Amino acid sequence: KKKKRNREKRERERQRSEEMGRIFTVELEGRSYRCRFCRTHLALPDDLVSRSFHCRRGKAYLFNRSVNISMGPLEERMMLSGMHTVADIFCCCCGQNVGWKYESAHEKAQKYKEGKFVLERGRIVDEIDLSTEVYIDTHGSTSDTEDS
Amino acid sequence: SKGLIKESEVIRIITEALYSLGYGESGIRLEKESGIPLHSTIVKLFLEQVNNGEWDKSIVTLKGIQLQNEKAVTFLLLEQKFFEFLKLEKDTDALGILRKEMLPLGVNNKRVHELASVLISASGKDAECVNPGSKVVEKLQNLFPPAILIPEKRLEYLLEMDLDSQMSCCEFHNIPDSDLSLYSHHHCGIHNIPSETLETLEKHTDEVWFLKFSHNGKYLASSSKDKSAIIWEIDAQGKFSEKHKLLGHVNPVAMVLWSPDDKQVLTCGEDEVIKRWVVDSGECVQTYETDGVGSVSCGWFHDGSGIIGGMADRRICLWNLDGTEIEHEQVQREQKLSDVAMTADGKWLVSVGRVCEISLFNRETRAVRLIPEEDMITSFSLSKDNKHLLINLITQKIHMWNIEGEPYLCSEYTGHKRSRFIIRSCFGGYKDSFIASGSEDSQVYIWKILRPQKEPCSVLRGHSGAVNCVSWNPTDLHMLASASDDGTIRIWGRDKKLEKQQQQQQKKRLAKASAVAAAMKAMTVTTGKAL
Repeated sequence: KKKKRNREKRERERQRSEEMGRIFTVELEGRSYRCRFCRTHLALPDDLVSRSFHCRRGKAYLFNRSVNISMGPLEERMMLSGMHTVADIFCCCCGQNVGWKYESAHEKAQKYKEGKFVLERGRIVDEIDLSTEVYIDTHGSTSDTEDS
Repeated sequence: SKGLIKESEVIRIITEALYSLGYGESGIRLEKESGIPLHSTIVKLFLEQVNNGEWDKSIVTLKGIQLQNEKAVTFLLLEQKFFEFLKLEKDTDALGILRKEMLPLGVNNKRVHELASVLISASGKDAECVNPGSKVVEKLQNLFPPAILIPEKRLEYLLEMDLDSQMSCCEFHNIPDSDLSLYSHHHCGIHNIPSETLETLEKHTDEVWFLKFSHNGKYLASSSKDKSAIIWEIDAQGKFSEKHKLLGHVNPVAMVLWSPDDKQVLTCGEDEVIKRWVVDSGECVQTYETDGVGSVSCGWFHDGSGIIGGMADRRICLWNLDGTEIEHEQVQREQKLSDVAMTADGKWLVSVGRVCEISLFNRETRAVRLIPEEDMITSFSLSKDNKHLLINLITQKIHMWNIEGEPYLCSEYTGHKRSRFIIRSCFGGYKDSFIASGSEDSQVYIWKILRPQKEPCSVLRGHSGAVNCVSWNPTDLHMLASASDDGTIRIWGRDKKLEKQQQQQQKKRLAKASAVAAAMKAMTVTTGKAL
């Protein structure tokens, strides 16, 4: 199973390098949140600040740090909590818009967000999602102890 | 002329230069014609006597010169007399000199005692020997005021100092030393930095990710996403032609590196294997891999006797040329994508150890020197003399570090763009005093190292895709190559049109200056006064 997973992973990596250049990525240790489309590591649970953010497409999480992303241009945006200067962020491998970064907040109460990243729940997967996806077996299992 | 120079000094310095260059006759003639002797008669006599080894006579003559340092000079001369006696094995006489003549001077009693021990010990006698007269004069030089004894080769020294200061003032200095001339003031225009595309090489069929000139500057090697590497040959006119296309990798080729003797190249397939090729034949002679783990970077041993591989499982692997693995002690790295390199003295293995940190691993002592950076490191490159390290950060900054002893940050360079790819930079130009880098905005950036600002001194436009890598020809100061996602390689050189323009401007400036000078001279004549 591990070999198959590695092969599939390499296939995905090759597909996503339709993009230009030799892409620079880092890998995070342990259970990380990844890009839903290309599985590139994006953030660690240790850096998760809040799960109660929202965007047009649904739920979103606020993180202290995010890796393997590139930033779009800065713009002024009116959010539910007020006016902010934000920049959309994109997975550096597949280019999907995965969320945004708070550059500055106009209201004092919102200043805590500055420098932090929002990743949309619908654009990321975590280890649990990954494991349920991968362990789907085509062969019927006879042992009770396999599923856990 | 600003009136800063005294004619008599000029004549004497020229006379000394004539003697130094071996034109004794002309020297004598000049002394006669100008009526300005190089040295006064008594100094001349003194020098003659010293050159002939007539120590006692020279000491007597010395008294007539009335030097401030008379005692120190006398001491030196007596030293020579002492050694001569030693040579002739007249030990008692030698001791006599020490006691009766040198000690009373009170100049350097420590030395007197040293000489006494030389006298006693048998071995010492062979170690020191009588210096020839000319060497003595050299030693005397420091003790005589320069006006009395003109320093040797003074004119040569003055001219070199001036050239040196012209060079350091030169903003874009980038010509070989042999091109410097005394005939006119030196000034490098920006046209001496590569700025024009001389050639575009289009043999790759996909993005070009890496390129590097050979150490002898006669070849260029490039590697591409098209899974091949190409070795290019440069002819006498500077034209490039494809020598070999290296096929065999099944993944994009991430880098291609020259062996120290330029006879072989090493290629690294992205997350694949490392291959070694012979340049002449273009054939692959060895493949390096381990445990089914792919490699992400490669490097040569300093003497070409082994191969280094940065692996995808974050280990560093070392192989002998024949493919057998060498045990390696370095701790596993933290970052997957890291360059690897060995310094030319074979002492240090350079790699990105922990995230945001470069590790210099000492192969003998297994000690580690760390270079802590402020952010993640995407690539690095060593200078030719291995004294400096150029680090490309994820935050679009290039940092230059001095790694001779304890590493320290020298300077920072910004201006280029990097947000997704591995963009490489390199040293180059006159004595590696320039830095060139690729950029995601399709341009090549060039900085002059010692300029105080961080901004580039030149930006080259032409590519239509991100420029991934640059390489400056180590033997041709004016040739720069760049590799781009547009599938091409561009060779940059001097802008001939700009050079002509600058030369014409220079001529105009000089013409103006001489016209003004002529006018002022004319005025002096009419008014009869000096200005």
